[in-house]
Amino acid sequence: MPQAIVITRPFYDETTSYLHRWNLDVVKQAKAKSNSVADLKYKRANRKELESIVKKLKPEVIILNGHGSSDTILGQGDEVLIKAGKNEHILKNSNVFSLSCSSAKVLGPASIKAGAKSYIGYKEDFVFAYPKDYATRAEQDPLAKLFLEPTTKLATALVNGNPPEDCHEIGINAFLKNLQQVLLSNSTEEYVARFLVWDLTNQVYLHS
Amino acid sequence: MNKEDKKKEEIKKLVVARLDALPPNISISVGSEGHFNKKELIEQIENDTEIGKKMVEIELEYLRKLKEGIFYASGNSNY
Repeated sequence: MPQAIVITRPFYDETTSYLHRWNLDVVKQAKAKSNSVADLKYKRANRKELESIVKKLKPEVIILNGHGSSDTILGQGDEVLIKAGKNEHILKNSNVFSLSCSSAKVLGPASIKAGAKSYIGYKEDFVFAYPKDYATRAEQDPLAKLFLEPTTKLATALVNGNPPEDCHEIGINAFLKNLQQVLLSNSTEEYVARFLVWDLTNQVYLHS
Repeated sequence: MNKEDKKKEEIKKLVVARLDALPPNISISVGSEGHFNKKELIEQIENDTEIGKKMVEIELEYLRKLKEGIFYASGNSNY
């Protein structure tokens, strides 16, 4: 079971609102498993606070939600939280899951090189679909659920202390289950299958 | 138009036709690039933008993975 857990949850546009809301259950689960959980949400999802809390808690698990690029993960208002070549060392000794675009391409390998135990993330843009009328109640959105339930299961498995390789598999299998669901069940949501395949093929598990 | 360009145009037409199945009220979040509805995605493809190229890449990857049998995969971390 992880001794300390750090989670970032910025909230400032439609995409981050979905990630923020869908990760609430991960935070709840983390708090049930550990007395040392830092939920860096809204303005607290900034670099200074993240670096400070990681230094203090030395978390075994770090979950990063938000926008990003191949070498960067962003916090509230697009503030750079972690950038390869600048401060990836703060991930040292942690198992990391990054629900942000493309960061497994450069930042992931750089983090492993800097001493992170493992890094699960996406090599390309993380893509998901949602209907406009659910934007203010993202957590109830059945369409976005097809994409964010797999990532929530992965993150929950990680905060529950499962080996990161197993957590990666849990995420992949949840994506595959949802893919089969939309293709098999005469679902009107068949059009999202291409995006589910994209996300699951770009999810990677990196380790030392 | 040379043979290569003609092939690219045909692929773009195929992707546009397939994206046309998206309901109009659905947004697609493409990370930091923003979110797009069906009409906007089709415009991006027709204008050959980076997002348009990404949509073509997603569609081709989907068709490739279906051919490889991803539908039957389970517990396979190679995906």
